[in-house]
Amino acid sequence: MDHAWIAPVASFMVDSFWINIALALLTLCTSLLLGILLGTLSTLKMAPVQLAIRAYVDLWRGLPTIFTLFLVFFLLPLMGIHVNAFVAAAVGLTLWGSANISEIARGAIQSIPATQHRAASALGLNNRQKFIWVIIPQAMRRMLPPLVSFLAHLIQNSTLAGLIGVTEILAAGKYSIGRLTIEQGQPHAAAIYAAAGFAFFLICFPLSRWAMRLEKKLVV
Amino acid sequence: MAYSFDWLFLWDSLPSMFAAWGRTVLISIIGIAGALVLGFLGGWARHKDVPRLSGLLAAYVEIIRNIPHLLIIMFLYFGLPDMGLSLTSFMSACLALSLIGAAYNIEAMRAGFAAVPANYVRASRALGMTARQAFTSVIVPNGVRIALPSLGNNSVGLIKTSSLMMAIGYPDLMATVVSEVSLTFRVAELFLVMGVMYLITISIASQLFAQAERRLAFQAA
Repeated sequence: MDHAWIAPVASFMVDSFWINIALALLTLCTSLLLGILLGTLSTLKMAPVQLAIRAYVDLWRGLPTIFTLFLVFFLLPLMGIHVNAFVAAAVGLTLWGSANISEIARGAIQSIPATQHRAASALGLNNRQKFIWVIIPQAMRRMLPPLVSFLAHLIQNSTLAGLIGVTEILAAGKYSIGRLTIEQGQPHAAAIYAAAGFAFFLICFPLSRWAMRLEKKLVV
Repeated sequence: MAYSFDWLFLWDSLPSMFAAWGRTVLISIIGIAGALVLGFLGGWARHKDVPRLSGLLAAYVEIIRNIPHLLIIMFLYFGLPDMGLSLTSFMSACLALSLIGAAYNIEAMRAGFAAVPANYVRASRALGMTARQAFTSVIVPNGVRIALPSLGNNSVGLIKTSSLMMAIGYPDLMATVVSEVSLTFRVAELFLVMGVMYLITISIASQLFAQAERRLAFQAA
C-alpha cells in the first residue's frame, strides 16, 4: 500500500477547508447585521414593511439555497457587477442566512414580555432607545441557541459554493480524485470524502451540542 | 441593466424543463418515501432501546445531521465504487435522499413515540390487548400523529435537498436549468420558471402533509 498520495491531497484539502470557514464566518457577520435589522423591523407595526420582509423571508427560506447561489452568480454580471464566485456565494448565502436570522430575531423579540416595553416607555425611553437598550439585549440571549445551530448549518451550506466554482473542500476533493484517477488509476474517493466529512463533524457536532445545552439552560 | 426579457425562447426550453421537473419530483417522492419508512423503523428501534442498534442509530443521526448533505450525495456516488458498490446517479440520488431524510425522521419518530403517554399503553394492556395490538392500534397512531408536523417539515426539506444532484450529474430541475442558462444566458426567464416550479412542488407537498395532519387530528369529543 502506497501512502505517498495522502500528503499533497491533505494539504490541498486543509487549505480549501479554510475557504469554507472564511465563507461561513463572513456570511455569519453579514447575515447577522441584515437579519437582526429585518427581524426587528418586522416586529414594528408597519404593514407594508412587514409584508415586504415576510415576502423576503419566505422567498429565500422557501427556495433551495443552491437556487439562490446560482441566481446571484448569474444575475450579478448581467447587472454589470463583476465579482468572483466567492463573493457571489457570500451574497447568496447572506440572502438565505439573513432570512433565517430574521425569523430567529423576530421570534426572540416577540418573546420579550409586553411589560418590558411598558417599563421602558415609563422610564421615558423613546422607541429607538427602548429597542437598543432594553429589548434587543434581552432578545440576544434568547437568540443564542438557534444562532449556534444556524452557524453549524451555515458551515455545512458553505459547501454549496463548490457548485458555482469556489475551490472549497468538496471541490478540492473532487479535483484530487480526478487527479489521482489519472495519475495512479486509484481515486481514493471514499477516503477523501470520509476525511472531509470528519472535518465537518469535528466542528459542527460540538456546535449542535452547545446549542442544545444553551437551549436547556434557557428553559430552566 | 441591459437585459431584455425574451419569453418566446422559453417555448423551446419548456419541454426539457418539464421533463427535468418530473425527475425532481420522482427522486423526491422516492426519497421521501424511503426516509419515512426508515425513519419509522429507526425511530421505533430508538424508542424500544434495542441493544446496540439503538446506539448505532443515535450515532448515525448525529453524523448525518452534522455533515453537509452535498458531501453525503457525493460520497454515495463517487466514494462507494471504491468499496465495490457502483450506483447510477439516479440510484445514488434516491439513496442519498432516503438516508439523509431518515436521520431527521428517526429523531422525529423517536420523539413522537416517547410522547405517547405510558398510561395509554397500560390502559390498552388492561383492556386485554396483546403487546402487538397495543403497538399497532395505540402507540403507532398516536406517535405518528405527534411526529407528523416534523415529518412534513423534513420531507419538504428533502425536496430542496434534491436540487443538489448536479454534483453527481443527475439531470434534475436545477441541473437542467443551470446547463440551459450556460447555453442561452436567459437567466431571468429560466430561473423565474424554475423558482415557480420549486415553489409549486414544495407548497403541494406541505399541503399534503397539512391535510394528513387535519385528517388524523384528534377529534374533539
